[in-house]
Amino acid sequence: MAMRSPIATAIAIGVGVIVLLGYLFPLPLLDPLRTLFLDWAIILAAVAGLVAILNLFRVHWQKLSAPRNRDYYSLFFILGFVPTLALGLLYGSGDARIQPLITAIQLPIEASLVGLLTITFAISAVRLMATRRSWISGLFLASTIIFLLAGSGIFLSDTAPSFLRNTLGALNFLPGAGARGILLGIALGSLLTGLRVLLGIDRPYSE
Amino acid sequence: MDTVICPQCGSVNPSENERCQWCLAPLHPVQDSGQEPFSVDLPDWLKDIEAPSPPPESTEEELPDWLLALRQEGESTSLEEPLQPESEPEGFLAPDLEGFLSLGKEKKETPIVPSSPPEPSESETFPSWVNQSEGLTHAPSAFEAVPTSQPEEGLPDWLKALREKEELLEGGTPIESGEESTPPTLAGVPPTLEVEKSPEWLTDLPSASTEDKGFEISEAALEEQEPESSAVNRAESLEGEPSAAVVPPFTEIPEDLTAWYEEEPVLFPEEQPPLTSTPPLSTDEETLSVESLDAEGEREEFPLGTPPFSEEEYAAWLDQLNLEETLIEEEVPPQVPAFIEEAPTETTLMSEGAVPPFIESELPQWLAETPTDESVEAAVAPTAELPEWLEAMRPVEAVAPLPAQESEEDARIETSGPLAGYQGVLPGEPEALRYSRPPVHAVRLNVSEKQRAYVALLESLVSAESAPISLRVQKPISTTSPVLRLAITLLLAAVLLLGLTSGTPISGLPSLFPAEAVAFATTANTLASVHPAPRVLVGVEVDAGFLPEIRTASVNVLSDLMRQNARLVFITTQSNASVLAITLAQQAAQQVPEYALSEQSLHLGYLAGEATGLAAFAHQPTIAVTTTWDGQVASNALPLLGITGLQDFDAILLVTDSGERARAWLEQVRPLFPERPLLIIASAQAAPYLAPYMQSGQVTGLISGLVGSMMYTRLTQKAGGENPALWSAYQMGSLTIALLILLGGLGSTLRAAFPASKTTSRR
Repeated sequence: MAMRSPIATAIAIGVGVIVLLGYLFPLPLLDPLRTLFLDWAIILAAVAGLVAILNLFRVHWQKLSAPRNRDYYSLFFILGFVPTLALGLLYGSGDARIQPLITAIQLPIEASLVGLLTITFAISAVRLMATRRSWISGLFLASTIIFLLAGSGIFLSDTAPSFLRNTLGALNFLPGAGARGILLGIALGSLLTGLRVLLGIDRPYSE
Repeated sequence: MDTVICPQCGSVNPSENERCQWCLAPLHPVQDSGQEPFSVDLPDWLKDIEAPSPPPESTEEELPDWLLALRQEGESTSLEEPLQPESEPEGFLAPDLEGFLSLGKEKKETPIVPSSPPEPSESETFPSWVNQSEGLTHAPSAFEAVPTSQPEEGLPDWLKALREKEELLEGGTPIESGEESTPPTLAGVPPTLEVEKSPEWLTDLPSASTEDKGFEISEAALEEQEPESSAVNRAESLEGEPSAAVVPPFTEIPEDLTAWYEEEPVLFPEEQPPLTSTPPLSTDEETLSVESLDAEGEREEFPLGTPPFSEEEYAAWLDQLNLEETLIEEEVPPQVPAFIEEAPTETTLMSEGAVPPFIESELPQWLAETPTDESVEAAVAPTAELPEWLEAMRPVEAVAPLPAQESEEDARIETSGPLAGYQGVLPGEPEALRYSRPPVHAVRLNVSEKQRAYVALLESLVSAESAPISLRVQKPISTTSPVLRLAITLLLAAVLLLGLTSGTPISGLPSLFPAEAVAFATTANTLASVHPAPRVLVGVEVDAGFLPEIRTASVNVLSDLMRQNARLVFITTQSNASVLAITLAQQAAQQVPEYALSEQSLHLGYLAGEATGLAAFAHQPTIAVTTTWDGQVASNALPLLGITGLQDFDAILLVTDSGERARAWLEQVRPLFPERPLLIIASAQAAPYLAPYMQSGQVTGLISGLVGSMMYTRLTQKAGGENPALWSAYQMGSLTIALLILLGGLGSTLRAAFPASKTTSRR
């Protein structure tokens, strides 16, 4: 199979090897190169974020200006984006007049969404057995109830039965065990992905 | 009643009709016109050629000079005299040819001198085969065969003598005259001798069927048409004798001109030679070649009245002929007209001083350049010698092999219709006959059992593909009824309000603390023991929606750090978290009024690149972030004084609501900050994700959620930090939700377990 974009592949492998060697062997020659590559990556990420913001604005503008089936909710985005951008460019992001846009608008809205999510989860859990009756659903509901009780702090007082405290304390290790397994899987996957990129097997940059 | 077959259409007509009653073609072309029957069809140039030949009824005075000279020579020369060449042009001939020519001259003189019939004694000098052939060929011989309908009194004397000889032949008596013998020198002369109508056995000969037929026919027709003088001239031309006076213009005519004349014997049945008793003639003079002569050069005599050949002898004689070889060697391609084939002789004669019948300039180029015998043989060469461009232009029919049937059809003459008399002009019928119904092949196959099994399997697969598949009909997901949603919402709101208003938790404040919470509180409150103004890097990786959950803990921890006169450096990888960090710092600073927030704290703002930015910042923080949140130089700020690297910080405090973001810090920053404490204030949802890092020692202390905040407050014994109303609302709300889920699950299970009883009760 002919290699696609051999130059890009060579650059990717070379940069990856240099950064990896810089981590493993912090030599005076490799460390500046690694830092330089990381700075370039940060700049590119920032530019990517800017491009993403502009693309988001373009999408909503197209939805709003579509000849048919206009999405008028995009108007709210336009109305929020343009003043925020203008104020940020005018006063800077650290100005005290910009902070209320976050603390007085974004924060309550997002907090309300989290509260609404709580109620939605509660209703879904109540109806879970009505819509999908299986042992998995039952197990999920049981675990939810147990950890709601354990997380509520009811059994963190001295008045709680010791047996119940010990049981809930033992059950609290289960989430940690599951999280450890997830982290191990993530670590192995990241290692394998890095090796495949370094060996040129995967070339996501050439797609 | 006598009938005459029309030469044109082949229909039968009464003999008294002069024209065909069907096609109106002249039935007696010779009798009617007194000219050659084909003269009408001849082109002008051919008529001109024929004109010099003396007519049969011409007298001596009307004869041309060359004929008169020949007659005079014949008169002056006795037949008994030894044959000597008498003219200089003949001197170049071989002795044997000269002998033959002398005989020919005698033969030519014979009709001129009617009183001197050919003496049989001369024939005795010829070999026996010649006598046989003479006996066979005397009737159709080119020297004798003069079929004419002219009356006896109109004929010249020499012709009368020939008639007498014919009559003698008809009586079955072979003529042994030497004048009709053919010398062996004729072996190389092109074929000219042929009977008018060959017997069936001869026509059936495969090799001599079509190629020579036209040639024979034309030869016979021409001989019949030509007068005796022409025949004599032809004999001279055949001999190759360069006669200056007698130069027959053409000895043959094209096949198409004389094809119709094949029917001529029907018109003159009385003049047909006795073909039934006549042995076959060879189609060429090779049968008269020297090879057939006896060794002694003598010829056998046949008694009068005795047939020269019996059928057995005839067959044996025919076997020796090797006709196929003869025809192959002497074959003239049908494409070349017969008169062109004769042209080399004419050219040769002209080149030797003979009087050409044409003015050379009037001749067409192709005729003037008529090749010699050798060139004719070369011309007879196969058509493969055609130039490539001409071969490429040939029609497909010329290249494709024709069926044998077609070649047979070519020789057929149309017998009816407007094209009657033409030969091979309508190939439509044979073409139609060429096509036949395609052969019917058996369609039954021999199928083995294994193949049958495969067929069955294939059929089952095909039928399975086309068979409809019943889709599993899933029950439509019933949406939650608005009443239920509204009821749950109202219930939760009521419980929360009840908890907030009551301020009495269900189980009281927590008195049991997990180890991570204890470690967190201990570390956070002992940083001043490490450094009088501990430099703490505060990472805020939280969204605005989850900030209320960890706000209490974050504000309490920051306020405790401010009490320790800590230099706080805030940084975040979330774009909007910078404002949240400022907000948290401001709220914490409100609890510590003596703390100079603007001087002791620094906001580096947003760090792009998330994990990559964290890696760059961990390695060289002064290079990764050069300016502060408000655009000032970061290195000149008080919190960063004396800090060149990450290891210069006394502690790292991470406020996050996401385990992934906490993992990025642990993976990118923690390796470069191994010996200093790393404290995490996390949301309840991120606590299980960070538990392994806590258990592995990578995280020094951890508090999560509202419970962690309450624990930290309880552990630090912060006055006023406890919020029993919030704690009560939190516990009541959690228990309510757990109860709702339990009730909902039980109800659904019971409803699913007893559907029949419900239906029965309804009935």
